[in-house]
Amino acid sequence: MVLNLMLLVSLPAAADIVGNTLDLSDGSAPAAALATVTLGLANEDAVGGIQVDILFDGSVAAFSGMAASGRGAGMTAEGRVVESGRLRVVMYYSGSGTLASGTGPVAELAFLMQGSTGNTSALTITDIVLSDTDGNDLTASATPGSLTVADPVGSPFLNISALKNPGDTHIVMIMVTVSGGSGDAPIVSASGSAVTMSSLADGVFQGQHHALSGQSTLTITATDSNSNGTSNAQIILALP
Amino acid sequence: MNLRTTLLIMMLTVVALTGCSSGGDDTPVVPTVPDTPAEFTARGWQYFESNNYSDALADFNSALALLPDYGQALSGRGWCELKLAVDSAGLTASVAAFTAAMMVDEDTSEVFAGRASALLALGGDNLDVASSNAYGVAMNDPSFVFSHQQSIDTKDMFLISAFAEAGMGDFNSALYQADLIEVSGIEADYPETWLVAGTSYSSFNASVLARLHQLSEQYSG
Repeated sequence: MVLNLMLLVSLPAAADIVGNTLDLSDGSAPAAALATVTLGLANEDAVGGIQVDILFDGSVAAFSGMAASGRGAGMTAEGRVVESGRLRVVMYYSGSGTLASGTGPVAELAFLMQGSTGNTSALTITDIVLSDTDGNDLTASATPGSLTVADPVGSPFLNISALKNPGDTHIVMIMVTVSGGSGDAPIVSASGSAVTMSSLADGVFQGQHHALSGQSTLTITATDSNSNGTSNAQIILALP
Repeated sequence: MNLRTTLLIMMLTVVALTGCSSGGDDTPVVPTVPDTPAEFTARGWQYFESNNYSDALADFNSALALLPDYGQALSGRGWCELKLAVDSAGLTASVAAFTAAMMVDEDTSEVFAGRASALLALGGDNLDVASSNAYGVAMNDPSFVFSHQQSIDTKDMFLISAFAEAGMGDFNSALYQADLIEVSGIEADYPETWLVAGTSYSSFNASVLARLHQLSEQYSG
């Protein structure tokens, strides 16, 4: 009896819900980690299927995967990036199931976060197709969510790529990608010589080095720090 | 000595005098002391092929002193300046020589390939032209091989284009060019494909750069 009363208090009764509204929660995670957001639905009408497009900034996050959850647990859920920054979500019942009138999560979506701490992307729901059990369209509105790149939990992570000029392999383009870094250019050296690095894109830096004629190997190191510590990366390149 | 033996000796003598030129090609005869632009240029390429770029450049310059518009010597000068460059001044001289070669209708794949390499090394605003020059060679001359350094071929042209696109921050275009060498399977919108040599990368850009590094190690030069 007590439990029933609690449920009556905490869950809106179907009669209280007006219209059909989809919403996305806010999510955050450090660069290179997964942020999870919840797709929720408050539906007055019984729902047989959902299709929506979710717009996001591809420089801040990349879609990683999704799964039905909560009230949508019995539905098949599929997410596919149809163009850069546009995720299409489709949820439906394989059989004759119905999402009864109610409120709560129907799916969880995971995004891999990228770029600098503090970068934010809106998660905008658009092109909504909500259908009833007979396949008829239902009117629906939407509330957007957001994704934010959070503070790193560890020291920066660096990758070095060395691109040898095909015309003269002693001329090397040095590209360093940094996640969770200081935001400044990493400190880079090539066989002890400092390499000036410039920012190319969010978390990507480039420089160039001319190895000496006759030099057979080139050792490249890169260093960056954040409030959690300092990280190094190193590669040794064979020069023909 | 019978007739057969006499003919054999004559043939061997002719081969020795012509410098053992490979059968059927039109490589100019290279005397010990060159005298003409063609002879200086031919010896220049011989030096070039043995990685003696300083002497090669001297011969190409001697050819150009005799005939300033000699396209093959301008091409040779461009390649030597590229190989000898230690700074942007050398690279600029290389580009100038290649451009001069093109101006006198020496607009061969070898000239465009060298020019693309030099422009890539110069970087900055030159990357766009580097990419288009290299891509042009690969498209117009799919079986391109640089005759004086045969390790440089069409794959290198795609690499130059890919590196130049990456240097301009266009990682989608860089991947497109790289995939013309070997398809990577990397897709910008699918993090599960950001995989190179068994290592997963946390961003599309990082995976493309790792892929370019891998191709550079396999094919560059």
